[in-house]
Formats: sequence, structure tokens, C-alpha cells
Amino acid sequence: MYKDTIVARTTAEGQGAVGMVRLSGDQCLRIIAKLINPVKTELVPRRLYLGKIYDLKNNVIDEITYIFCQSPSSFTGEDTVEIFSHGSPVIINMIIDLCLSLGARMALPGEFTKRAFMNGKIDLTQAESVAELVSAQAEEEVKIAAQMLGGSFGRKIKSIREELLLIIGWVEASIDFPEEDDATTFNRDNLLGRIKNIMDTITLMISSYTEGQRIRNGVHITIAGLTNVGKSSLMNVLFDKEKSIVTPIHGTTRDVIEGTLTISGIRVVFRDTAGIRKTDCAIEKEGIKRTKKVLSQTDLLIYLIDAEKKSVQEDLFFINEFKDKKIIYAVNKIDCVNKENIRWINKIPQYPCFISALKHEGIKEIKIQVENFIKKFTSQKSNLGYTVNQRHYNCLKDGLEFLRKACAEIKQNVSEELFLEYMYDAKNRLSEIIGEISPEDILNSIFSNFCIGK
Amino acid sequence: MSNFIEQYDVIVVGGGHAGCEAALAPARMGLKTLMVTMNLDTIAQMSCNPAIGGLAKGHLVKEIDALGGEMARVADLSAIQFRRLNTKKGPAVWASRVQSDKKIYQFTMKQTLEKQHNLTLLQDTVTDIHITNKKVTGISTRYKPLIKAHRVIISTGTFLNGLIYIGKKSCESGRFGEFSSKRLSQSLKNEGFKLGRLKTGTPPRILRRSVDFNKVQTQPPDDIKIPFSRLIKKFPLEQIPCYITYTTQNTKEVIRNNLDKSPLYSGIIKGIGPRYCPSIEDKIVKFPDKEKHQIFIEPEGLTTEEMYLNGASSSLPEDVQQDIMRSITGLENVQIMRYAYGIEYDFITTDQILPTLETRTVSGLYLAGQINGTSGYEEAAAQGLMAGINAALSIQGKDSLIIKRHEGYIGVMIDDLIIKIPEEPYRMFTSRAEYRLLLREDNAYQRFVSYGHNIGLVPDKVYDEVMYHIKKVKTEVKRLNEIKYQDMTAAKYLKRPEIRYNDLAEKNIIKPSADNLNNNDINQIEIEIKYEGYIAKQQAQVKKMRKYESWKIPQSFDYKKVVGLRSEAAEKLMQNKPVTLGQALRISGVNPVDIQLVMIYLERLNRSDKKTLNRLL
Repeated sequence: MYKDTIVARTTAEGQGAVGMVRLSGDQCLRIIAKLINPVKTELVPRRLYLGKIYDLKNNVIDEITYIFCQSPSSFTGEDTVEIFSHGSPVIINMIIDLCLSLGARMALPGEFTKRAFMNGKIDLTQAESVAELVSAQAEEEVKIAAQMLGGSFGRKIKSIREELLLIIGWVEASIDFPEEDDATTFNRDNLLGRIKNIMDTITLMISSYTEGQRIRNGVHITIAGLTNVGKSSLMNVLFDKEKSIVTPIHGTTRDVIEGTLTISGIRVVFRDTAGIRKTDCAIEKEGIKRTKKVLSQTDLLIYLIDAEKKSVQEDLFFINEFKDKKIIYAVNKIDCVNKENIRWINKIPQYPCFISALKHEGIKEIKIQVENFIKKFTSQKSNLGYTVNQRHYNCLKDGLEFLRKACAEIKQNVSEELFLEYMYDAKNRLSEIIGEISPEDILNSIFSNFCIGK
Repeated sequence: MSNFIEQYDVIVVGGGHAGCEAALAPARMGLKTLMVTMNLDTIAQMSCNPAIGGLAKGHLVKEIDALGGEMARVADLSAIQFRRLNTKKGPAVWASRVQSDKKIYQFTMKQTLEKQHNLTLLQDTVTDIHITNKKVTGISTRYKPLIKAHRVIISTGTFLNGLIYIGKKSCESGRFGEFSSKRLSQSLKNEGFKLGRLKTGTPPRILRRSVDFNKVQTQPPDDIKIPFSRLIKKFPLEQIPCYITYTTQNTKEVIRNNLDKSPLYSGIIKGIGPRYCPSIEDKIVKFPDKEKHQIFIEPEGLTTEEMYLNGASSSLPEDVQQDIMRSITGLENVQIMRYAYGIEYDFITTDQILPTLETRTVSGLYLAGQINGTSGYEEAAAQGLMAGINAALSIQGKDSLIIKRHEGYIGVMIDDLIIKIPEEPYRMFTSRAEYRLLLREDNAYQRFVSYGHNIGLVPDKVYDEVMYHIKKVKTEVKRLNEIKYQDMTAAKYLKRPEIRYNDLAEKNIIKPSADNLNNNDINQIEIEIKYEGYIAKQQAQVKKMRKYESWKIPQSFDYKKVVGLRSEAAEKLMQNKPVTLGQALRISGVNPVDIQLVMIYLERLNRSDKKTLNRLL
């Protein structure tokens, strides 16, 4: 009866030590065969296996353990695979995305429990509590959806719905009323333009998901500055161990060094970079290139300046390059120089912290500034006013794909009733976000936009 | 007068398009049938436009033919212009339409009924439906206190409490100049049926020689003419053109200056009219920027000079109508022979019928046609046929025939009616059919002939022919998939838009088929190969829905007991009483989570008390 295979995370939202994804249905063995490597051909039920999950480009996503439970001896009564990964929401969502692309469907709220009940795994007396669970979870989703409808995000959703209704109505009118002069006026170029607009809006909404994902993934902080300014020393102080190689030779750190701390409950990735300076050395050049690349993925930059320097010309040159970044300035080696004697302080765009990485001075101040930044950064929602969740993200992604297919067919001059199929697919897939669009709604759109009258 | 009480298997009340099919089907299935009509001369009258078919309607006519109904054959015999619409698009939305000679249509149908074995025609007015213990037992007419029957089908069209308007004048009538059946309406109300009210209208009829044909465009018949029915090889009547003209600036002014005289705009008519068929005054008001509106001038027949002004419905007073029509290009001196009118009428809300068209509360009582809130000859005929078939099957003790949504427009229509009470007269559109690509005119026989044959309405000869056609097509499609051509198969080559089946043999890619393929076979082969991907996709969707469609919900199911069901969903479900989970899912305002909850409770019912559940079903 319930042949399709469903997937969902079963551990709570947010960062945890371990994450669990459950697949249920008769396709789950086929799906994990493509997902996990190595996968045993003959899985012994209820035994824990170790494996790696690869994405479609064959990159390792995570090392995981998994358990197979055979129908009917599983929670749902169907073939079930439970995958235990590391607890990062990013990893869990990637695993779910892969399962979806391999033919699973996102489980409805409470659907595992419902299946357990329907398959006789939960007895009659529990039926009511199953129903309560389903409706409670659904209610939660309704709340999320209602939240989405507010603000600029809501306006976008509304505009997609209205536009889709209008263009489907437009094409339908030309099919059902071929003799009406009013209803047969649609032209393909115009139609393509309008679909493109919808697609742009959807793409924007999808980007809010990727943005949100990145925040959930952690805040990225990069330490940068000219060579030998003490970046690695600062890194060492922050982590309280010799993570970077600290030597007095300019350009020691040639690779990017990374460390993770948890500040205010948020994962913070610190990166120590090779110093920047004009150089002929090939390895150095590569280091600089990497720094710039790292900087492009950075949320906050700690820019270190050497207190002993007479001039900051070179620093100002680089600072100018990164002026669109959030920057905390720190003047290092303050143990060697008297603060009052530094003449160039007011040339720096913003008042710096004074530190000595060597003597562990002023480090607390940097930490406070970093903490303040993180609090502000994570509380600030994306510019859309809301970030979509994974379920919505999948709807949007599929909807976009169907619209793309519709466009391809429109360009190839495929007949109206055929390319409409993809527009209906898009509509159906998006309905979870934009609301149901019934045939009646489409007829309403036709009659309010065209004068039908034969 | 003797005391002998007449007894029939099936009585059909009303002789319109629904009534004719509803009476013919049981009679042909061997049951003693009576049709009662208020006037034998108006049997199968085309009260509105002189045409059969069109988008989605042509599809219905083909389906009626494939099931063994009569409309297609009569339409062909009375056709005076054939056109196929939408030929620039794909075959799923090609649609046939004929202009009909109204009188020939009517008389051909009447004679068909008269000749039908087992069928009796009676001119009389039905005053009461007899119901004992929620079961129909017979009828009373003005002249006969009791005629007994096992099944009664009501197909009274707009005659239930019909009220005609021309301007602010109104009179009780079922059709212009005819009585309405007020007593029957009351009798149904007394039985507890809920009634709704709808509105429709019809445009003026004008005198042919008062039209200036130099000022209007001619719309000729198609060159290739394909009859609806398998039984008709060629249209017997002369084929003549229709004409197209337009309203003018002056039309707008006349209408704007006289809106206060409209019963609609002054609020006298309360029923809701069809948006796909607005009055001319509606068009001007709702689309003020549109410069001119198209008006079709259609002949009403070969032996009359009356013409039908399609697109010019109105319920304004006669003098204003005259001014409006005379403002239309080519109609400057037009003579109106019959004025346009609006009509309000009762219908029985469709939450009270089952998919067999039997009423939920009174066993043996069936409803078909406009009484179910539909509009159109084809929609009515299709329901009449299904009501007739199901009434007969139930007497014969056989399983009922319910067409599913993926099987035909008939199924889409009846399912739509059950899940939603029409708010305007329900008309079929192809956009209502989610499996539109599967429901084509060209494959109506493939879809229905087995049903028609099984119930005894389609003769062996036709059935064998269709089966042979299906076999030929299947064999050839298989062969084309096996023949290699370059790096592909012949079938794949045929998928190219510019390639036709006949090119394959011409280019020596295939040897001509051993079967003698006719145009119909070839057409089918091309469609099956060229649209294979789309067809497969829709078939997959059908399969996905099947589990929901097969899950029955007992009529007495108490949605209030379902914990967590949103009150909006519960309300909709209680109102529409879906018969299956599939129907429940289609009700607007009911979402998949609601369905999950209902499923849990159905399963609970199933486990706790299988016997009760089976009894309820």
C-alpha cells in the first residue's frame, strides 16, 4: 500500500553531536546502495555498519554508521535504513538531499509513525496519539509557513502564485477557447519572459536557504595581515596551542590553517592565512591567492598591524582591497612599542585593539569584539526577512527545474497542452509554499482576464 | 378507466438531452422504460445554440458514442457544418464540433425513441415522486395518480421553478412559452432535497434576410469532415457556413445608457450566471477597454430563416435589445424574431448524489443534466447515459459503472460535481481534466468500448472492429520499436516532429505493414509514438493516485471524531461527503496531512470492527 520510500531527519533541528536520518520503504536498499560506499550487498538486519557517504560528484560528505531493519521487523514495519552522521545540519541536509535525488520523498509530518500504525506496528489504543502527533507536527509546519508569509518574503510568495495563475490561465484560455479573439493572444516570447521572472524570484528564495545554511554551518573568521605580523601567534593564543608554525622568518605560514571554537553557542571557524606582501617567490604567491580566496568566504576579518612599523602604506593598500568586509583591527607587538608613539593610528579606518600575542595581552578585548560581532551576525536574518527550511528548499528547487523544462519546450515550439504539463508540475511542487491552485482557480483567472463570450 | 396500475422498470422524467439518453440506455439493456415529457414536440430540443461539440464537449460526445449512447449519431445526421478546433495544437486538444439543424436533430432523436423497443413515450406532467421508506416507488402525473417504477430518473432541465426574465418583466416558465414544473420542485423540496438556484440565458434569434452579409466575415466548414459516430460514415446534409461580426462603439453606449433596465444589474436576478457565456451587457461592463466584441451568426437549420446570434445574450428589455443588435456591424436593419432572455431555475445541490448519479438519501432515484447544476447538451446527455446505465445495472443486480477521472471526461465531470457544488452552471473544459493527454477524442473507443459492450449497449460488430483496430495499432507500434534505422529505431525516428508515419515506408525505413492500416490506425500509431513520453508520465500519475481512489470512505464516517483534523477540512469533508480518499484529496481546502489523519481513523475502524466498516461501505 505504501510503496514510496520516505526520508527525514529524526534528530532535532540544529547542531548536535550525532544526526540521524531515517529512510523507510521498499526502495531504501536501492537508495543506500548508491549513497554509501562501501555498502555490503547482503546486509544483516540490525547490525551496525561503517561507511562513507559520497555526493554525486564523488566527494566524501561524511563518515557514517548505518543500520538496516528488514520488513516487518522495523519501527514502521517496512524496510528501514537509519543513518548516523555527524551532527552538522549541513551534513544531515546533504544526506537528505541525496536521498531525495535518488528517488525518496520527504516524509510528511508524523508519517513514520503513521506508517507504523498502518502496518500494525502500533496498536489500536495508540491511534489517537498517532493522530495527535501528526496534527501537532503539521501545525508546527503551518506556523512556519505563516511566518514565511509575512514581510517581503510573503510578497514574493504571493507574486509567484499570482503570476503562475495568470500564465497558466493564459495558456489554458488559448486551448479551451480557440475561437475567442481575446483568449488566443498569448505569445511565446512574452510567456518566456514571465516565466523567467518567476524563476528569478524562486532563485532568490533558494539563495536565502543557502545563506541560512552557511550561517548554520558556522561563522568564518580570518586572521590576515602582512607577513610576520604575528597572525600565527594570535591563532595560537586563541586556541591555546601550537596550531600554526611560529618562526621569526617572514612568510612562514604558507598554507591556510584552520581551527574551530564555539563562541556564544555558535561554531566559529578561525583561519590563519599566509601573510600578504609583494613577492617573487612562487609559493608565497600561491599563499596570497589562497588568502584572497579564504577572505571571499569570510564573515569577519581580524586585520593585524605591526606596532613597530613606521608606515602603514602597504597595509592601507590591502585594507582598501577588503573594505566591503567586516573588520576588527588589532595592533600587535604592543609590548615592544609605546602606544602613544604610534603616529599612524588615526589613518586606520577604525580604532584598533592593542594586543601582544606573545605576552597574551589585550586578547580578551579581541574576544569581546568577536563575540559581539557573532551575536549581531546570527540574530540578523537574511535580507529576505526569512530563510526557507529544507522542505521548502526542495519544493523551490524542483519547481525551478520544472519551469526550466517548460521553458525549453516553449522554445522548441512544443504544443501548448504539452509544455503546460511542466508548468503544472511546477505548480504542484510549489503548492506547499504558494498554496494550492485548483482548476477552479485557473478558470477564475481566465474569466477575470479574458472576455470569453461565445 | 380501469384500475390497472402501470408498472415500469425505469421511468425517466423529462425528454431533453439527458432524458433521451437516460431512456434509451435501459430500454436497450432490455428493461421496460417510460419517458414522461410535458410536450412530445420538444423532445431533444436544442434550446440554446445550434451546435454539438467543441472543446471538451466534442470529447464527451465521442465518449457517449463509445459507450453506446445516441447523441453522436443524431448530431452527425443533423450536422450542417463540421469544424475541428485547435488543429494547430496537439491531438489531445483537437475537438470536433458540428452546427446542427435543430429541427432535424430533434425529430431524428424523437423517431429514434419512438422506434426503440421496450420504450414508451408519454406526454404528461409529473407532479409527484413516490417514495416509501427512502426508496422510490413511482410517480404521479396530472392524469395518472400512480405509475409504479423500480427506478426513476429526473432530468427536468431548467423547468424546476423556472423564471424567465426579459428586462424587469418575468414569468414562470421552463423555456420560453412553456410551463415550468413548480409542483415537482415542491415535491423534491418536501422530500428534504436541498435546492440551489442558477441562472443562464440565451441570445436573440434573427431573420436571415435582415442581415447585410457584405459586412460580415464568412466562416466556412472544414474540408475534411469526420463524423462523431462510428456508425456514420458521411454527413448526409448539405454543409453551410457561419458568419462573424463585431459590436461597435455605439453598442457600448446603448448598453451603458440602459443598464438600469437590466434585471441583473438592478439586483432582481439572484442566481449566478455562467462566466463563460456572459451577456453582452456583462462583457461591456467587465471589459470596458475592449473596443469590440465578436458575435457569431449561426444558422438554426436548413429549413428555417432563423439565425442564432452567438455571443449576444442579454436580459435587457426588448426595445433595448433591438437597439443593441442594430448597433452591430451588418445588423443595422436586423429583425429580431425571438428576443434574448435570462432564466433562473432550481437545481439539486450535488452533495446529494453518488457517483452513479443516484441520490444519497432516496434509493432508486437518479438525477441527470441541468438538475445537477450543469450546462450544455453534451454534459446533460453524458449524465443521462450514465444515470440510465446505472439504473439498469442496479435492476439487473450488476455492479455499477463508474468512469474514473483518468478514463474519461464523463468521469471528470461526475467526480467534479460530487466534490464541489457548482456555483455557476458547470461546463466541461479540458483544463478540468488533469489527465488530459490520455483523454483524447481519437481514443474514446479504446477507453470505453469494453464497458459499452459489457453492458450490452455496443454491438459485437463494433466491439470486434475496435478490438481489431487496437490490435493493429499495438502490433505496428511494437514493430516500429524493433526495426533499426541508423543508430535508432524506426519508432524513435518517427518521433521527430516533421516525420509522418507514411514517410517511413516511402524512405524504405520499414516495409509496409501486413495489416491493412486505415487513417484512423495510422493516426493512432503516430500519437502513441510521438507522445509516448507525455502519455507515460500521466499514466504514472494515475498509478500514484490509484491507492487513494480505491480507499472507500463510509457515508456515515464522522469527521468530527478525527483528532487534530483542522476544522476547515472537517467542514469541507462533511459537506462534500467524498466517497473515496482520492475524492477527499481533491476537495479544495483539504490537504495531504488531513488525508493522513482520515486514513488513520479509517484504519482504526477497519481493525476494530471490520464488519461494521463493510456494512457502512
